[in-house]
Amino acid sequence: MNTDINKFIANVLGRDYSKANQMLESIIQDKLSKRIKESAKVITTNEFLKTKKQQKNNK
Amino acid sequence: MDIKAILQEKFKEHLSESSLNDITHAFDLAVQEKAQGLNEQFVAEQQAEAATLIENRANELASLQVSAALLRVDEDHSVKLEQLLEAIDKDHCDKLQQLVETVDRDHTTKLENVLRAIDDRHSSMLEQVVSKYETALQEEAVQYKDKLVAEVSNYLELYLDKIVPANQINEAVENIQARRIIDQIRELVSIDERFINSEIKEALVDGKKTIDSLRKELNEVVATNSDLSLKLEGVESALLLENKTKELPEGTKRYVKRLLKGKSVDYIKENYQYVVEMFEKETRLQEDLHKDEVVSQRLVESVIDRPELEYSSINEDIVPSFNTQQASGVTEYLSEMKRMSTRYSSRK
Repeated sequence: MNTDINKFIANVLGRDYSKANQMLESIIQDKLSKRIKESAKVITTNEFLKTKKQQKNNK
Repeated sequence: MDIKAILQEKFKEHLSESSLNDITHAFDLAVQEKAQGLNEQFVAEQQAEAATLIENRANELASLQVSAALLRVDEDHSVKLEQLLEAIDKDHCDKLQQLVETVDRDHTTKLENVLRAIDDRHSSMLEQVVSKYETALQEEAVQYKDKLVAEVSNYLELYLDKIVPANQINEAVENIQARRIIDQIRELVSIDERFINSEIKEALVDGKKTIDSLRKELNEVVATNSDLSLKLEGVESALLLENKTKELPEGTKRYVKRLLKGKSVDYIKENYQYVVEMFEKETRLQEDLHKDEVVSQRLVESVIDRPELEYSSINEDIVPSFNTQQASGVTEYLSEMKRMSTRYSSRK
């Protein structure tokens, strides 16, 4: 992530705005995918709890 | 005619022979004297004339000889002078050439020494500049780059929080997951939508009810879990904040706690040092500002015979520009942190 931000800053300083835009898109995609993965992880945890609850009920 | 004969003829009766002889003698003497005088005078005149002529001639000759001699001397002197001038010129040229060569050599040596000294000095200065530049590049630039990257990353996180809230992401993920589950159920049951009849619908409705009830229980458990997690996180963050701030001065401690209270552990770890540095910087700025104000007040109140308007105008000109330039970054950061804290509190 930091490498991408470094490249983004370097492209902005070098006035290569198309590449800077690409890098910014990549950074935002990374950040969003990270958030989505975290969110999915929470849901997976919820499912795990649900399974546990079911097992408890079955017992 | 003889004078004696004349006298005898004229004064024959009156004069004796002796008188006549005397007179004749006297006359002859007188004539002779006169003749001698005239002769002498003539001779003298002739001599004078001759002498004048001779003198003139001699003068002319002398002048001619002098002219000739002068011409000869002039020519001789001209030749000698030319030779002398040529010799002097040649000598001076040689000496000048030698002098120029000597001066050139001396200047070349001195210039080489000066150039060498300047080269050495500039090389040493350049080495110092290079070392300082490398130090700045390796340490300060890296530090600044890391700070800039962290700030850009934080800004993007905040922007994404604002544009794409977490609850929307959770909702989208839940929708996708629910759709997947439904697809899996369809595959498991091997039912196409065209063949769904009332029994299957009833079974599906029962299943959905069961799923809803289970989901409700799950939500309760998740809520409990999230509450517990939040409490745990709050306790951890409070403990971490307390551990970190226990050795700080009271003012810094209060400031840091006010800003970082209720934040996550990662957030505190990431921003603690920065907040402390910002507080110290702000405190220093405030102290400088107070010092400037006190100094300006003293200057205004003193009895110095100066126009009062100059100090006030100078202070008004200098102090605000200094504050705005130095404190702009701090205020931006603090305002951003306040926004974040309000957002976190609202999310809770």
